[in-house]
Amino acid sequence: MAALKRAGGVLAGLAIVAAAAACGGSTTPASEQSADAQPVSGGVLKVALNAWEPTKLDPQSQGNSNDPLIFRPIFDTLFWQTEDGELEGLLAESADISDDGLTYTFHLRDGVTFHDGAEWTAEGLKLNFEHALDPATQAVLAGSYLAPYQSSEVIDDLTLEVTLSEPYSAFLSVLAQGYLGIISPQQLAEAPETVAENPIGSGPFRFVSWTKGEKIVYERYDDYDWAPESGATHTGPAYLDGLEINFIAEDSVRYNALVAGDVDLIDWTPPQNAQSVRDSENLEFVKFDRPGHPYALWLNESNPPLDDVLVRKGVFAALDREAIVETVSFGEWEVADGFLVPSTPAYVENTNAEFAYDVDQANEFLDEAGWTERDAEGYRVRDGRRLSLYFPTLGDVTQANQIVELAQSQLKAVGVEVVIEVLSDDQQQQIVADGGHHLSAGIWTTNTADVLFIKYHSSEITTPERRGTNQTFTADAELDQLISQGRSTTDTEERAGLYAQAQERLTEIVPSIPLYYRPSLVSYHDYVHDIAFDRAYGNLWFYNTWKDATG
Amino acid sequence: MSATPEVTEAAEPPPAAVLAGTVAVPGRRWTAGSRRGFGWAFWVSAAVLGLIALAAVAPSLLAPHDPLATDLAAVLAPPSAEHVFGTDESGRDIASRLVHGARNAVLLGVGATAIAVGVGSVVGVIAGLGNRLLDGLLMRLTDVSLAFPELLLALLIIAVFGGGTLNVVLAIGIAGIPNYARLIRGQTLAVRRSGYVEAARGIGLNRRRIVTGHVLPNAIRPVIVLATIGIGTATLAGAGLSFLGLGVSPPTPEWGSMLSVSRNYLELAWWYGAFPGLAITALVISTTTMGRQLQARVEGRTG
Amino acid sequence: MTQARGRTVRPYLRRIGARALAGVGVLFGAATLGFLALYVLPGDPVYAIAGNPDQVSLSAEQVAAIRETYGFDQPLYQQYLEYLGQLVRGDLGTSYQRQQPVTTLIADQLGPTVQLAAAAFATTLVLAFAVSLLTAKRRFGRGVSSVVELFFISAPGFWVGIVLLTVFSFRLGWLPAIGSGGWQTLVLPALTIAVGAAPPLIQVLRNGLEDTLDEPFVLTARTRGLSEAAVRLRHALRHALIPLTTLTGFLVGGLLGGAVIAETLFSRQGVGRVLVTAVTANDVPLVLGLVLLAALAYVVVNFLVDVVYPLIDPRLRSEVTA
Repeated sequence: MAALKRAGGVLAGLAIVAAAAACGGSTTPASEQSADAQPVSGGVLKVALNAWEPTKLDPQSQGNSNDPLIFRPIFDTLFWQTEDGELEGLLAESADISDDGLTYTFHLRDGVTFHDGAEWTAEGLKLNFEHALDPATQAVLAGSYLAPYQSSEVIDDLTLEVTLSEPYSAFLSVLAQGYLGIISPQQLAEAPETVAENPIGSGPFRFVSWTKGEKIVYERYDDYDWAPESGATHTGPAYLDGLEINFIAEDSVRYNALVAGDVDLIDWTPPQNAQSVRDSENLEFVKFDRPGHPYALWLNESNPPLDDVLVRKGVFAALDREAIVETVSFGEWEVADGFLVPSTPAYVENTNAEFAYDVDQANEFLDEAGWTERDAEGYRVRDGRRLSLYFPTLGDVTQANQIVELAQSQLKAVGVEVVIEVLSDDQQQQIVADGGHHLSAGIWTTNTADVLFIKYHSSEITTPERRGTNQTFTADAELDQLISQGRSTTDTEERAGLYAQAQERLTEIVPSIPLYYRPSLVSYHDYVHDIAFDRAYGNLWFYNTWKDATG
Repeated sequence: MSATPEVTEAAEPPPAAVLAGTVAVPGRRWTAGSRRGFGWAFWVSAAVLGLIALAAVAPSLLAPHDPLATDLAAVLAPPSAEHVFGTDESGRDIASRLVHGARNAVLLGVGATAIAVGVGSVVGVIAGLGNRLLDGLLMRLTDVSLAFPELLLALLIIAVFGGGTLNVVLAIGIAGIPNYARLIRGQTLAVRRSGYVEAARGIGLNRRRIVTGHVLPNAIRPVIVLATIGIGTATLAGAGLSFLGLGVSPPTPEWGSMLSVSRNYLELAWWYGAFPGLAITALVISTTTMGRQLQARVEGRTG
Repeated sequence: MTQARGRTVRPYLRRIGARALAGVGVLFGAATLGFLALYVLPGDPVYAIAGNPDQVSLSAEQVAAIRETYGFDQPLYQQYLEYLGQLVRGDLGTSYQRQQPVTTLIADQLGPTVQLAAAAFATTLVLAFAVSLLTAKRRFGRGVSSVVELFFISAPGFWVGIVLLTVFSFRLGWLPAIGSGGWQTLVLPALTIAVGAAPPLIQVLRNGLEDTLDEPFVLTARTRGLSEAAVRLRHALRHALIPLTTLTGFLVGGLLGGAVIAETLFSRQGVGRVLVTAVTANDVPLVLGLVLLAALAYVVVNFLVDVVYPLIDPRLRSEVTA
């Protein structure tokens, strides 16, 4: 039995000190601010995000980048991810894993009370798993993270034994993500459909109201007493009286709302405004990487000419990723050097020379692939057909469009045409699901290397029956085997080795072009202190945060 | 007005026409007295439209740079001798993109208006000349379409067909059809009931000759004038759709989407929004001015 | 608009009845057109329902559940009849994206849009009256005003909004840039809509005023020693109002279209913003519901105009009172 380390309350005092130090170092907000300031309770923190508002306030039903940030205040998860990537108990104290990796025994924390007064029991956890997997919940993300779940059995009030259909090494880690927030068992038993409008959890803040298209309002939950020790600077209830999360679609409006003091803090700081925030006397700026797969251009291997690895390599080498990322992000984002973000477990630094920008090499690859002739417009031609790539895209994010345009311009230099079409969400998704595209773009944030399975395993290719996640249509036997084994191996060392090999294999088959790690870009007024992040997803976490008297 | 079952013969001006057509144009007062010449505003407008037309036909004559060439060393560069209107977020020359965007502006404005006027004329003339049943049917259909505000109708069409240059032209064009249909029907009825059609029939001209030779030209003349103004309205509708993220596909240089994207860089680059904004405004002002003055002339002649 | 024919109240009532009936007809037509346009669309609702989260994966069971809930397995005419049946009962179906009744979603968002439209309408009228009264028959004022009007009607609405936002909110800090609480948040969005909607009204009102000011009865009033302001306000304005009613359709469209832009730009909640999201996500039931709402607004406003029109127009008033 491999037991997860217990995070009991024995050394609570020491743990808090350690956590505070860890937190200050990890988030690196200009730390002179709170060096000698004493946290005070009170005040409402007004936050602004971009337009990605949840469609329902049921955390398990959502799948957008803002959702963990939005749901964390209301919902606790079973585990909390520490700075060194370990899991610490939150609503679960620990979990025992059977040697075959199929049985997980969860030992739950005692004394947790939900906002509606419901008690936290093993039966409640069972209800939560079943809710996430109920097709009616339409859990577009949480459902897939729990896919290997088969059944569970209540051992006693605080012990639940879960049986999986196959070994799944990422299981406990994904349970630390905000999408798997634990909903009040009473609400799930009595009226699960009400979660969408009136979410009830056990987190440090309770839900007050949701003005659709505008904001969500939260207030402090005064009975809160189970903050994760390694992340928290204190115990008991949160410092802030409440939270207000606004959705501001317009970049310049979001930035100016911060400057004008209409809000205290913004995520999604427009990269073009980051420098002015740094230069400002009363504003602070901090970045935080999200683990998982970097933002990437996905190359559809099932659609010629991208079925030819030489063409994929040629496209890769033709892109000056450094310059693209630098331009688009005004220098705020870092260029990705591989298929995992460094903060993901099992990340391996990429040393493959073919990853460099090299127009000559790009031309060699494409020549070698047989695209040697040129037409009147300078594009490569083979057997009378132009080397042309179709890129159906969504017109909603400025940077995304700009990346597409810059890629198009650079590929033109090596004779590759890119045809861009802006489509509505569902049209674009349908084309991508049917494999009618050559290029698409996206990111997948998760706290395990299992993201490689999600993005590149052949079983994740969409079929008429199910919606998969493998947008590159990669079906490589060698890779399949490595990431399947990585998924089922419980041994950490062995798993790291498998994922290292998988990343190596990816550099050979080039199914995508990783561009950058999309960090949270957070700006805030200097009267806001102790900004912290939830490492399981890289999202803001407001339990430690407080406002001083000048706010 | 739209929900009126018995439509009166002398059609009231449709909203599109009202929108732009009633706005007074500087210079008009000076020309109101003389029917022979147009005012200075007309000629300035004509010059602006001429320039836009030239840019649309032969952009490479006017554009100093390749509108798609990115220069990552000169991102958001202010106006200079090299880049007279500065550069955009990818280092592309804004002046060149404006010149090359003229074709799209013309395509959008003229194309959408042509669809609206073309289909609207067919529907209007058929309704105006047809029997009661046909007329009633077409006009009820028009009433229904008029119940959707133009921007909403365009949004609905984009929801069905998707975005992209051609679909935007279609959407704006289709959204404009009911107005013109109604107007042409009114004109057709007026011409049909005026004396000279009967006179033509009296001298034995056949039905087709009367329609093509008399009804149509007379019904359509005021419409052509309104259509000039409609080009401006269509251009603005296109810019609105671009703002909502439903416009043309990148990297096509298009004024509306340039203006729309520029708003993200307001603090850093005033020139990025200013010049596309002025280009759109100049185009709309010019078409409105010309249309208005042509209208004054037509009215002066006929009435 | 329409010639006065009858001399009693009954024709008036009969006409109102006919208008109401025609209005219902228009709504029925709008529902049918909208249904045909959106439901004939090819495509799998699964993609519209999953929306555009960054990270999506649906199991076979989930896909099956979605197809069953929104199943397009019935023949079209049956779906259409069902849709009409629902409509009569006031049911607009369930949104793909939010999985809530469309009527609830619209009801939630309608208040702020009505507020914005009302504020914009009031601002438009105030602008129109003030400018036309001040500039009618005044050569200099008219000239300056014409240039300004021409500019505002020719500049894209969202651009005007951005400039207003930059000046009054970002630079001067007088008004908030976001939100829908309190009158302060209404000022800039309402102004953005109004400066685009007012110019045609100004022009129509001013032409009306100028025509009336030449009438003999105005001359009589002047000779009786009434002040210029009194002449304009008391005598001329009422007559100038009549042609204004022909602009109601345009105004309704302008206000709704303006609301779509203004709500997006100023991060306000409201049906306009919902519409844009619904269109990009292809949330068919929601788009259809909003389209019907717009048609309803148009029909109701025009009906009201038809009812009120004979009461304002002295030439038609005899019809009602005689």
